[in-house]
Amino acid sequence: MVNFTIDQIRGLMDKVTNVRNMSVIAHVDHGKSTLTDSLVQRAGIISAAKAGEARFTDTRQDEQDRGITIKSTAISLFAEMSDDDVKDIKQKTNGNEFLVNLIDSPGHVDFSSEVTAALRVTDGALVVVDCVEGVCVQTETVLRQALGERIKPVCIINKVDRALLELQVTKEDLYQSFARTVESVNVIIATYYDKALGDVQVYPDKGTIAFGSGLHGWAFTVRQFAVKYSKKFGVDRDKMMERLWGDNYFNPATKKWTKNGTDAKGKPLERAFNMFILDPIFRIFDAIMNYKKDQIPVLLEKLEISLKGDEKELEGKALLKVVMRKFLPAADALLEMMVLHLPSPVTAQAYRAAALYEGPADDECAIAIRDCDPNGPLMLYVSKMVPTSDKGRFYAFGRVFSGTVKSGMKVRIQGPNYQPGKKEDLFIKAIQRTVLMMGRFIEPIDDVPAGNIVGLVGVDQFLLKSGTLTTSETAHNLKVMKFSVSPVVQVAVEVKNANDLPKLVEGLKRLSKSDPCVLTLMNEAGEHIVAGTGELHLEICLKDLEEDHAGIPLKISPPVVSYRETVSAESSMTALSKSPNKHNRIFVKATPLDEEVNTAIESGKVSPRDDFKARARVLADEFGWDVTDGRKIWCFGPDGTGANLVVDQTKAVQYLNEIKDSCVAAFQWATKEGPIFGENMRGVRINILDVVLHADAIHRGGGQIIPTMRRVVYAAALLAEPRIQEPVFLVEIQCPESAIGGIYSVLNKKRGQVLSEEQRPGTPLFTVKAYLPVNESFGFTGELRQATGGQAFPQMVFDHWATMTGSPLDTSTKPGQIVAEARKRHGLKEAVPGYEEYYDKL
Amino acid sequence: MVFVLGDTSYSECCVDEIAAQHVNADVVVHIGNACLNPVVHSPVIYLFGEGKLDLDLCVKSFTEQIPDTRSHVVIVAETPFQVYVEPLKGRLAEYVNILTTVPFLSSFTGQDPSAPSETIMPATLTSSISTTHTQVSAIPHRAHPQLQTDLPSYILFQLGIPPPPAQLHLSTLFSRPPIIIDPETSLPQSFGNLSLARRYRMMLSARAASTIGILVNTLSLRSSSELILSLQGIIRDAGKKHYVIAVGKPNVAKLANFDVVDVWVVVGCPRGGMILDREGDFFKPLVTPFELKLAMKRDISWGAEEWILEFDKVLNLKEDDDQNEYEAEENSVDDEDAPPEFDPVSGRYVASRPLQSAKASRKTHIDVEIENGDGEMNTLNFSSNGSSQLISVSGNAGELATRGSQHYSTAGAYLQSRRFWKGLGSDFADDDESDPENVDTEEGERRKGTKLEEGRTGIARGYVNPDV
Repeated sequence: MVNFTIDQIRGLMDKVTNVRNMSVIAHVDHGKSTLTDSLVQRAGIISAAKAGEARFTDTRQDEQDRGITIKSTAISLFAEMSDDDVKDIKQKTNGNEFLVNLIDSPGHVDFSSEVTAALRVTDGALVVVDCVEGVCVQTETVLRQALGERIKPVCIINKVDRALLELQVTKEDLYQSFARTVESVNVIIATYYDKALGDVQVYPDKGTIAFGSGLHGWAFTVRQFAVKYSKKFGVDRDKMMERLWGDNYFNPATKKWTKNGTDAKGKPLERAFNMFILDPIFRIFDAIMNYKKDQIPVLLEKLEISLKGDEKELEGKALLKVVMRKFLPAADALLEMMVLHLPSPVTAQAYRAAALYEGPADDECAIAIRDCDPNGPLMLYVSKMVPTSDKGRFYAFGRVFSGTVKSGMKVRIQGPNYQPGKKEDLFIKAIQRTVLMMGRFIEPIDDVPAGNIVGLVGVDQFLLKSGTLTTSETAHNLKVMKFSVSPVVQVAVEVKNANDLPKLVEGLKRLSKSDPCVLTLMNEAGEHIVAGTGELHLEICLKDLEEDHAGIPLKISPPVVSYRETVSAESSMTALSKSPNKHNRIFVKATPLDEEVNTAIESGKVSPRDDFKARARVLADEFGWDVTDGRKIWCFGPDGTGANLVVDQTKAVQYLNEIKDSCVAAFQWATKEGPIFGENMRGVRINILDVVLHADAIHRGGGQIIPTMRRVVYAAALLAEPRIQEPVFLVEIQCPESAIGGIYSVLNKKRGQVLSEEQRPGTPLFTVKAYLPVNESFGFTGELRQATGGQAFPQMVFDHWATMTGSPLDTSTKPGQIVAEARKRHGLKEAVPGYEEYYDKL
Repeated sequence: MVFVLGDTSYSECCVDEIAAQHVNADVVVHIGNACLNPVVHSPVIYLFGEGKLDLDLCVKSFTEQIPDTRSHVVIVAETPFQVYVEPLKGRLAEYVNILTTVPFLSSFTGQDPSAPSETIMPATLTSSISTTHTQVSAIPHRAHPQLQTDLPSYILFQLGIPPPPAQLHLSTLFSRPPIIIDPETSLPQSFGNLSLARRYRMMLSARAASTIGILVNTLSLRSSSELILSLQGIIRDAGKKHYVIAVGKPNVAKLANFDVVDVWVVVGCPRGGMILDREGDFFKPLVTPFELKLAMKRDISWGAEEWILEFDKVLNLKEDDDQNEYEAEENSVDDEDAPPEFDPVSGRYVASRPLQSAKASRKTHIDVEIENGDGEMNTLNFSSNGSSQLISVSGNAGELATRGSQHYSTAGAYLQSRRFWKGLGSDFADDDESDPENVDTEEGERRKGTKLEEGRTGIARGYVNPDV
């Protein structure tokens, strides 16, 4: 296929029905980048010889060195399909040429925020699953994220060469292993079923699953074989596809298809999949790897594969690669799958619009997004920042959902805290340039219409990580991304030389921009904090900070975990605080929120931006709330979005509206710095039972109410059996049986809790799943390696907040020690103040 | 005639010149602990008194804390405990490198001609000044004999507990944490959680603030008005908005009334008038003038210089010469916004220069303009030459913020974007259940709101009523 030009791409962008935006997602080391290579090679960007090794989309030196992807990277590919294939596309298309925008994402759990950012701008996902390891924890996480964003998946079962070469499985074993993997992928998809997206389970006989080897550069779908055989047998292609998977057998004697595994005489028949698809592949492997030189030319001729001059000299693995690549080129199978089965932006945005846009479904922006209208108002979501060669500057990377973005166009830049009609987090600025992102290169482009992915210059100064760009003055934000991971591991950084301070702060800003998930902030004690999702994430961030973003030597503290303060019961009595002038009284009680409500708030299912009536409905129907309570939520906190609520349960209190602002402000303050050790509160519901206010407005101003509300929240929380919560990782460890003993002993030592231990059928590998407190996870990988002789590698992903047993007020308990230590570190009095400190007697 | 003045207007260590002026005093006798900061007008007679201190315990603590008899030690006392300094030194004869200090006013030596000349200190203390204690110390308002080594390598032995700001300041002067003797127990007291890192955090909060309240916590100290003017200047240059506010003795409740203010800078006595919010009780952060000056600089700087409290030194800090660069940036196309800044405290972008764009687009900043009944303009604070408009407190604060693109008000913008409550008269309309049919009239009623009227002015002794 020929190389393509920017003009060609630009031409295709207008034919938006022929665009496919997709991300490649998978568990770490299942071969995403390697597979992407085979596509890139098809586009003529890297040479075929290097494909499988170059990892084109791993643009950073450390990515190449470590052999893992850290940042997601986009690339545009050009695909030309045959008329035959185009006919099979079940959505509107226009011509045979297709533009595939592909984003390769990291597989390591610590970087799953990168995956979220990639998914937001794409409509389809290629899920890569290792045929030996099967579905792993990160496979599930990314699939869940994809489905949450209404992304349609297709799947490839990768590393089939390993099964053939290393495990030497039989055809039927291989089929069974494929079937199991398909099954487990579909179980996950079914769990997160979304009505708007419809049934998106993947089936080999529908052509939504491919099998192949990224390393060797080959892959196939059942459809490809069906096409070949349908001609040969003169059968309808669709019928053939069905027959080539599942319990379908062909009796060569009678030339009849049957659903029975045995023929009339009870002799077992060979499964059609094995007979027609696996058999030629097995034969190639057998002939080449066993050096049956006489058979090879016969086979090649039969399969219509011709070798060029020096290729004929090859043997063994090298020959295998060449042959397989000619027989079943990976790019063909993958492109076919993407083009045929993944939605175009037009198709996808019709059902994604509601999930993407915060505003009403009938305003001009919502309609333009739904229709993917290039002439509508511009709606562009910036999902991440990509560093430029110019230090400290970034390309804003995003997707045009409606309208057309042009260089020099003046746009409204709306940050995540923007609310329509207000000025906060809103900037008006011209876009300097629009560019196309191509792996490690960029290409300038004049304009980009709806449905496409774009890089912007000159927007990075206004957005820290992500945001909405629009031309409509009434536009609401596109929904802010919610990450499945949480930055719960933090370190304090300090400059070695005081003069470097400005560089550190600038470096922290750049670091914060360059990663969707990392947080850089300052704690109460005045230390600069960098918070990441795990040890590896932090390690990469700190390395970037020290070497690149700040470029100065740093002192880095050992990692610590962030905690949350919560309550475990209703306040034992009504908490009361009086204002400093004693003329106003607030009566409240604290109760714990259900963990489901907390998660719903944190995942954005229940959010402060919802219509209050709709929110009350959800709370009542799904979480058993009283509807009146649901309607009378004053605010969320901290930062107006956290999982703590104020509910107004007062009856006929005069002037109540007037103090609402002060109460809200005080609640934000109190939940940001909880009473126990100044950590965020979580899962606390404050019910305002009664308020007594002075009749004269001057005596019930903010000064009287704000400190009082804060005190009463503290008193109520301290009266409600306060607890602290610690973050917990879900750990998945794959290992041989002999290593299991070692794993258990390390987990026991680290307060781990084993959830399951399963053998993966057909392999000697065991999968152990466990909960592990993040606090105990430091150095876990090393210890595990030591205890198992290097056979076990854990994958750890933030799972939930767990309430620690024991009162944090009692220093003899574990939480008590944690609290005392933290208070000491922050320079607070060591004992947690009692509720009396905040409680006033009537 | 003698008036006994109690309950000082501001910090108790300062000479209460304001109260003295109310009674037209010719001279002020200041009894008790004193900060010794120069005042503007009155001649002052200081009486330090004699605090209670167990000298034996003090000596014991001293030898326990400083076992090495060759250590360089400097003894400083809160003014009421000054009388114990020389006896203490006498009891510690084996320590060869003890330095004592005495209270010191710049007016004693005639170095400061502008000081009221009749400032008098207790004679017992002044006697030694002329002879041995010739060196003006880096320790504020103290003098001591010639140093044997540089001051930071001394150990500070402090009698009596200085107020937190002074404590922090003292600790910055020495490399070892000071030993502070609590007069109640005559035993060393823990240094507490004063740390410069916390001040650094406050300073960074001030950088991210768009509205700064200058809290006037002294009126009598010399240079305070110059300092206020200078602070106003740098705040304005940084494109931020300021308000000058005096609330008497500040407390949490009083300051929480001004929710438009993002950060307070306290202009008060460096000893007792500064507030270091250690427990996080205050709603908004409080900074010192020195910290504000650092915060308004273009580049973050901290730690290279010492932590300064005295007004004069703050005033004389090297002025930033990069203010011009702000100006240069403002010349961008006027309907585009200036980029926000990164706030390392919250880790977010904040647009903290609300007046910068206003300045660029030549909007005038208005505070409040009101129209009198007869149509004549009457302006509170300073105002633009804009047309006269009636501003009601109700409904459309947004108009106030942006009206006619001629004026810009940060307070208006604040009310528009952060407040739910739109003013008097709105409590009765329940937003949740308003009947769609009545909306027009109800809304209209609410929009009208309450009229802004000019109130009484003056001091409590005799308010001036507006002539209506």
